Amino acid sequence: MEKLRPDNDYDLELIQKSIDGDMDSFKQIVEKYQNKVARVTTSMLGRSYEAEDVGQEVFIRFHNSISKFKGDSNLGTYLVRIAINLCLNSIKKENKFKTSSLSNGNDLSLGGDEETKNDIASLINHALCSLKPEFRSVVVLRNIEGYTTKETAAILEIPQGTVLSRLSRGHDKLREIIIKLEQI
Amino acid sequence: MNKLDAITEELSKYNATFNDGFSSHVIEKIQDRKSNGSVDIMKITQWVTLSGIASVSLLLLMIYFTEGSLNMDAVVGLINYSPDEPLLTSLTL
Repeated sequence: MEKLRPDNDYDLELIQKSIDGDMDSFKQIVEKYQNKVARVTTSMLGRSYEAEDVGQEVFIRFHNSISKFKGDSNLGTYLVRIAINLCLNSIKKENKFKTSSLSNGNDLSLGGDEETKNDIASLINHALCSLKPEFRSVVVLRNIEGYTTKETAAILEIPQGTVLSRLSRGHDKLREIIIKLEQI
Repeated sequence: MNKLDAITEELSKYNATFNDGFSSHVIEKIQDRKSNGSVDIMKITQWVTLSGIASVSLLLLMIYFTEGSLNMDAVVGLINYSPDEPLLTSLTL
């Protein structure tokens, strides 16, 4: 989902100012993209404080290597790539692809009013966090972030065929998990 | 609408936000890490590489000024060495 060119130009302007040490410009970047990063980290790690920590780390890492960003790709996509990698590292480190993070009582604020109190949304949140990370990352990028198969493959550095097979298996698993959860 | 359509539609509506003050926390953390002089591996690597290059250049410069050449004999310190020198020394003793 490439953004329009003027948006990219504005991002590049903010980046250049940030490189020159203007922290207000960097703050504007954070504010502009924090919801996008939040969607990725919370869907990957559950609505926990860990998701917020990883979200902060995404922007800190970006700041540390900001001069390396040449604007070849969209800034949002670049940040999503960092977010996905950090989430996968975090999952690997803690070996957590359970639903625990969703029900630990440390919920963050949620977008869209009472949406998550809605049964199906809640079920989907649980089901998503029950998926294995490799399936979850594909589902997050394709279905939540709306990237194309090609873009998803580029972000995850996997072949497009693998994206399609993981997406299909991910959907099957989601369906199974939701049916099971509904029976509880 | 089947179950999968419902799931994908719900996923596309997925939304989340971080707590208030998220951006300020990020900026604070960046400034904290800067002031704590956190170890930047890239900078250390660059520093070590540059000082290595500087040392080698200085050494070559010294060799050139003292020996007047940068050929292999000068570099290994054999430029003024005559192979017969030990023999002559032993004969004159």
